[in-house]
Amino acid sequence: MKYGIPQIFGEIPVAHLTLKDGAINQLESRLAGNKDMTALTLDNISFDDPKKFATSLNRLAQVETLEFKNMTVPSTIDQVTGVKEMKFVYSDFQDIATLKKVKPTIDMLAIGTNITNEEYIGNSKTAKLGDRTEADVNNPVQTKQVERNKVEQRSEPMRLSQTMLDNKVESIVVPTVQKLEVLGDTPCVVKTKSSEIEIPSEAFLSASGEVYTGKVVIEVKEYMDPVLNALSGAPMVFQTSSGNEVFASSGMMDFRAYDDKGNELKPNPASIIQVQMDDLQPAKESQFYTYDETSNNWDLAPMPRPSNFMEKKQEILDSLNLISSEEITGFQVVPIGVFLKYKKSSKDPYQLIFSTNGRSKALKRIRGEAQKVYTSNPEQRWIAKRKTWKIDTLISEEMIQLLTEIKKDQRKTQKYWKKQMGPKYEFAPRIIRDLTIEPNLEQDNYSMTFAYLDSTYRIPVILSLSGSVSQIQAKEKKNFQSFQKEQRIGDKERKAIDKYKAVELEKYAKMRRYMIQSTMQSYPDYGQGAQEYNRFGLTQFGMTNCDYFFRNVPDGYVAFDSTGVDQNGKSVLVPRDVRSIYLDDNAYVSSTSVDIPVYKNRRSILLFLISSIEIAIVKGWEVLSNGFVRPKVERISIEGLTPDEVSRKIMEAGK
Amino acid sequence: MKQLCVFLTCLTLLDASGQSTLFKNGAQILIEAKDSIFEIENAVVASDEYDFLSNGMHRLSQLCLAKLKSTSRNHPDELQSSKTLTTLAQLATQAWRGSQYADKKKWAGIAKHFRRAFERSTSKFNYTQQVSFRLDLVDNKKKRFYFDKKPGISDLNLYKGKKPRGLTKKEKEELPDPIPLPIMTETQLIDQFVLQIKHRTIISDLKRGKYAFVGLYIHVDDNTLNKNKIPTARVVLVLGARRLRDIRLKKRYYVKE
Repeated sequence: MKYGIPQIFGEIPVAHLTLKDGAINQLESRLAGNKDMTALTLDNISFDDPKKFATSLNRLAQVETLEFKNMTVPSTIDQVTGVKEMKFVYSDFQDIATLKKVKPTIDMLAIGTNITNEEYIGNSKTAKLGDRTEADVNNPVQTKQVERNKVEQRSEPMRLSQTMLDNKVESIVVPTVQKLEVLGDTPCVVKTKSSEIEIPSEAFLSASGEVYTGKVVIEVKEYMDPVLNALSGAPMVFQTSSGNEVFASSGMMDFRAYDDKGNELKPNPASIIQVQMDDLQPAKESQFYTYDETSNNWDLAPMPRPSNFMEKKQEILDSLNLISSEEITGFQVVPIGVFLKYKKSSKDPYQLIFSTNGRSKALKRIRGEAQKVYTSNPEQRWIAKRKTWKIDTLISEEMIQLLTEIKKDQRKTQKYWKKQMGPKYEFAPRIIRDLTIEPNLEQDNYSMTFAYLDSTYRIPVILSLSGSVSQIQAKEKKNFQSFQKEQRIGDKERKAIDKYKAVELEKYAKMRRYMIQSTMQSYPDYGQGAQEYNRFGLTQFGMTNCDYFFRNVPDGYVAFDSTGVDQNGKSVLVPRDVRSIYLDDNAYVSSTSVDIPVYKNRRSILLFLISSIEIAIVKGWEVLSNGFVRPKVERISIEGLTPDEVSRKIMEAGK
Repeated sequence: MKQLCVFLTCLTLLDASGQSTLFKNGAQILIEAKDSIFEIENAVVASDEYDFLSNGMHRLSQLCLAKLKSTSRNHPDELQSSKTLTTLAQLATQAWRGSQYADKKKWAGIAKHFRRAFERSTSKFNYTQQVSFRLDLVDNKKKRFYFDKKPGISDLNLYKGKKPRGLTKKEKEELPDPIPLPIMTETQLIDQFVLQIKHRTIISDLKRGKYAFVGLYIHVDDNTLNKNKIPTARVVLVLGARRLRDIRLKKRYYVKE
């Protein structure tokens, strides 16, 4: 306002006063009479005397929010003490260092304005920012609570065309519609190019709300290609009360179902269709949204469940080294088979008799490549051979049950394996394992131990011997010496196997680990089996996406001239709508030709429509003296091409 | 003790055919699950007569056990008294009262009852050997003797020689006092005991230290009292040995962890 603020602003109650495009000396004291004015916005205002301005502002005690927009904030900003909040929107500072002197109780909000000065953001000291990278500077959403003070700095939102903001971008190419027919009352699994859709029975409701069981025509459009997304004008803006967000897509689809008469069907909430869709951005945490065609906006839905193959694969790769050489090579030590019989009598205690089946010769040498080794277990064989053992304790019900179970299992195994493999039991599972005895001098008997199923059992036993005391004691001594000798032979056998495992088998295991690692590392490049995917239920038909927000701040904006030049030197008219496709993020942006966001380090393709059958791919530009740039384009004809062919052509041209 | 007394009373009412059953049932009730071991005390054998009628057999048992201990080798095991074996011996003297003590073959047939009864308890040994015999309590030196039921100078009413018959009243008055048969001294009883176990090759095994536990019971045979018989005592000796006595555990040179 060149000639001061009109008197009327002091009389008419105004809650929010905006002064725009002018210069002022000071805020008139008459504004103090306007008790309802709580917010003051200065939009492109210059100050003749910044000091007077600060003093006059402090007299307006009722003003709580002061906003500077599209202007240079004076250096006397630190003298403003009466407000509660300051906003800086697309502004800069005469002296940014004065910001830190602003009263700490004043909250600050910066939109599109950098208020960071060394270790200060506005008037808030953030000493623990750490290593601040360029990305942090460009994309800071930093909030620091210092006592009662709150400072917030938001990155500049991307400048988008209105059609993009309204989710009404014109469609140049329609994505391929995949049509499938199913029956409404039959569960089935339907596979599309990038998804697997599990349809339970009674998954569809007619318009009246009844379960539809007739023929269903399913139409699926998949938006898995960033180029096709851009060409189809897929809605990619999420409108919120605090601002608009651009989606970067992990996968998007449009699912619709029709009955045999062409009427659209609805999903049955009692029988939800489950979708497993390829995850294009597995490293990102995606949210799940459904599109509301009435409001042209997206609604947040329950999170999809990612498959996390990559994470699991990494865990497997990390754990490979922890797996023993035996497990990785499948090395097996097969002991002899031991079978237990028992005799019972009301007069004598239970007698245990064993028999064995398996290798009898001691292990002498292990072959280098053998993955299965049959051990002779001489000590177990000694216990079993020609020995009758008496149980030296009162027989309990549990023991009787155990012996009965062992007998049954053995009978079953012997019968089955004898039938399959003949009399040799080399491949039969071992019912009783690790049979051994240990003298119990305290009780004057032996503790017989064996493993059955997952448990180890211990039974006190004595050898069934007869004779005088001298004869029995002599026999016991001789038997035990003989047993210990067999134990030593068994120990030698085990030692040989352990040595083999530590030396030879480990070499083979290293090779196996290397082979598995190599295969797994290259695995995602082959076939769809390792594709990461997202799982979600279709609570609503229509468009659904698994997306995250594309919040990368552009490095700058360029303004195209009204004409460009093609590869042949012919001029090309540049339309208002220019689309930028960001290949790494599977995102696109439709902006006006004078506000095209550009990134230095992101793979992107800029294109615009020349005609309904021709697209221009921007290959570069020439900077003009008036600040605009003249784009250099390559013309691409899309007449008669399928959507995939169009995408391929654009990708090739955009390299 | 009370339980034992009641049990003994019941015994007299049973007939001989239930002897094994009696032994088994008694073993089932009285044998404890876990054995108790006691040291055998030393006892000095006196040369006095052993008045078994008034003293009972307890002192004699102690003397016999002491003798066994002095005979046995103390290495590797010192001979000790086992409660389980003592109970078995006691039950045996009560169950079998007849010719089993004289006939070795009959006694051998009884061995299985001991084994089965013994297996009910947990003890430090797993081998038992049982012997039985009779001890003469009166010394008649294998000469003639007679029983006079009229109370006289002998408590046992046993006298040396032949019983005078067909005497007149005057001859009876002039007849000198009959000579009562002398009761065996402790020394004589122990010697008898040692002889019996020697015949059953127990001594040699004891000397070699084969046995480690013993149970002994001596019971006066009431059937031999106040009769024209030499009073005897039934003796059952049960010895226990450790089967794994000679086992030496050698260190294994490779044990997988």
